[in-house]
Amino acid sequence: MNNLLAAEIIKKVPDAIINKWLVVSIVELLIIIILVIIVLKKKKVKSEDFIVSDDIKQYKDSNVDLNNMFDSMFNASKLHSTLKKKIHPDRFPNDPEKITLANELTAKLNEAQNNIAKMKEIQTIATEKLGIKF
Amino acid sequence: MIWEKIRNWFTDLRDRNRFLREWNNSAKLAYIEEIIPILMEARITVGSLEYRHEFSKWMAGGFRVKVLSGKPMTRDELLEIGQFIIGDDVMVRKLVSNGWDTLEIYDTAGTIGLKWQLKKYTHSLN
Repeated sequence: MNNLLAAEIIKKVPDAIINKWLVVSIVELLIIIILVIIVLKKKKVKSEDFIVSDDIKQYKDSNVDLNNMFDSMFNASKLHSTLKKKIHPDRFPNDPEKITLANELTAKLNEAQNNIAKMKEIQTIATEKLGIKF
Repeated sequence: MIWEKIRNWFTDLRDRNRFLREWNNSAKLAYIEEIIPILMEARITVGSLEYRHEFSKWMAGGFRVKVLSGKPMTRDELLEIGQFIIGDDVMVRKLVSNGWDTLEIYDTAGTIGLKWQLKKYTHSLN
């Protein structure tokens, strides 16, 4: 009788262990699936937040005039203020042609505020056509 | 497909390094020729994770400019340099297309560092 009971117990124990591990593995699998879903959802939100137009790829090979940039970084503001005063349209009250040109140059100057190369072009035009000495 | 990806990766790396070398050489020359009063050096850093975009390079999205002036620079001085770079549209686009997402301006003598999200300054393209 005792031997029979022992046999039953031995039989039952392995079944119980298998069931436990099955449950554990299923729970683990569920956790992994949930984590994967969370990660995928997060990625989707990120890509919507940080969309950069594909057109930007074409600028990869564009040339940046670094010498001009460094020159402009510290010297553009000085030249800008000098030019602003020199080519002001009020300096040519009796010459309508020069007033028109001065207006054009002032508009160009405002656009090229941070570009010393463009400002030097404006300076050349001002010297040649408006007769301004710098 | 995989071969093409590997080739693109190396091409991107070459482009980035070439641009960085150009930048550093120009800055060095400008300093030697007394065009600019401070020495600047650019290097690649991790950048800010919150500033990332689609073309960001993994763990290399930061474009850090180290400024050497011989004295600690003020926040406004660093801000001026950063805003000048940010104000150059082509420059910003070039940086973004080469995989950079963060512009950092650091002072070597002081403890101040400023950073900008490059993607924000490409609005005209969106």
